[in-house]
Amino acid sequence: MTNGGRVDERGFADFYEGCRRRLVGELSVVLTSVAEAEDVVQEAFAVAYLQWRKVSSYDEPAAFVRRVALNLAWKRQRTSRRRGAAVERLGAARWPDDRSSEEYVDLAAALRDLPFDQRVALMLFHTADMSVAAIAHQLDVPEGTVKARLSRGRAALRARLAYDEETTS
Amino acid sequence: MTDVDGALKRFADQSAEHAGDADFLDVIERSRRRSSRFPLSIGARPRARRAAVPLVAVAAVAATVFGATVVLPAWRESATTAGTAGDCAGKKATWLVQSRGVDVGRLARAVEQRAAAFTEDFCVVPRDPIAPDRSLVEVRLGDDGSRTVDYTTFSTRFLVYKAVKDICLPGQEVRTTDGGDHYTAQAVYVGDNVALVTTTNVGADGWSVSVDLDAAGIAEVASLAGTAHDAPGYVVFAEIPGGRPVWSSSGEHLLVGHGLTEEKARRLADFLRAEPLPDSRVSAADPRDDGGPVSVSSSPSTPPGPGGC
Repeated sequence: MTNGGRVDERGFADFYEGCRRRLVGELSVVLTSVAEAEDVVQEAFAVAYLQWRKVSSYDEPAAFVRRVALNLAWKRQRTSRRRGAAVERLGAARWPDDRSSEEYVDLAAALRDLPFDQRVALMLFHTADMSVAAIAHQLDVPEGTVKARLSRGRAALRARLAYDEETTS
Repeated sequence: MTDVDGALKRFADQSAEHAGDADFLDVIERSRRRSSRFPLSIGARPRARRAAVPLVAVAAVAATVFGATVVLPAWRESATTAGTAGDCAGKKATWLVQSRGVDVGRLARAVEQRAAAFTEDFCVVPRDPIAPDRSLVEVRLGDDGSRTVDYTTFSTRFLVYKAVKDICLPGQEVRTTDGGDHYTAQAVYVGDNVALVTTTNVGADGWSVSVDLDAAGIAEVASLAGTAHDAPGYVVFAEIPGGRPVWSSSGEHLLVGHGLTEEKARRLADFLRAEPLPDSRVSAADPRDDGGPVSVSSSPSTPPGPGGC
């Protein structure tokens, strides 16, 4: 796991404590589930831990974790239909919970209706504060594709949440 | 854009607030202190995946030789495990049945053969009711036969997800329910000839898991939970609901039941001893007894003769 040396566990612990919740929040935008976001982030941290000596030398280790988590989220997404069917069939009411605000509930529902790629783009741009160029680089797609996904995603969210600028202004 | 931007930021912030506390740091610390190995499957997936191949082969051979592959119902309701959860509460939950041998493959096949005829349902309690923040049992045996049993701290939710996700085959389905202070999760896997039902009932009664698997599934579970404990002597959780054992792929020890009542532990031990396992010793013990194994009875490490130990 740490082949070749001890892990700076204190450093990793600080890193973990410092950004875990933020990453869970970000991934929840993509996965529309706090629990699943926790899971992929947890696993992504595990990956980071195994490579901590290298990852810790990065300018932004959190970006590594985010990227791993996104990959895991993508894999998970592929089975989401079956999972969702089971949740529905089994009558689980798992999320959001009673603590959630109305806006939160509405947004969760709206996000679930968006394609995965659009959710990723929205998350990276709006909650991870990445530039379009950086997102394009990370996702290995043209910038125009990122812009298109952002535009469509925002439009869909506005439509769902009645965030029409004419209405809000 | 600003409206969406603000809404998404608030959404992420609220999600972060809802996120529970994780035990990851404790996992790291415990694994470093105990074995320098990583517990469960964290970070060990590549190795586990590789190890799954021979395990699948072993399991397939076992299934062929012993006709042990059981076509299970599409999936089994969790009522049986819910019923056993109460039995697993409190001190009784720490009783386990352990078998120690030198040939994991032979041992596993032999247990599987015998377990196929064993119909009693046993539940697994990877979460210790006494220490509810702990989840997976971990056993080490010293050269002198002494035994150390502890529980690795792990997120129950994470464990459940891992258990399902890493046994991912076509048809997997998952259900989770957050019940406030008491987290309840249920994972359902449905395959053509495989059923996996994992239920958790966390609260005063602790945690129970029931797994029904075919040979490949068993191998997957073993690779998931066992290979990460690469150091000899580790034992992973297992159970025999309807006669399906799960074994550790890495150590020389096999835990075939955990979270049992004393009575069930004795009965299972007796059952396994009825037709002795090769190169093994079967005992039922309370792992929390600091004085070492409290063997109900034990057989020598060499195969006993016919008729038991």
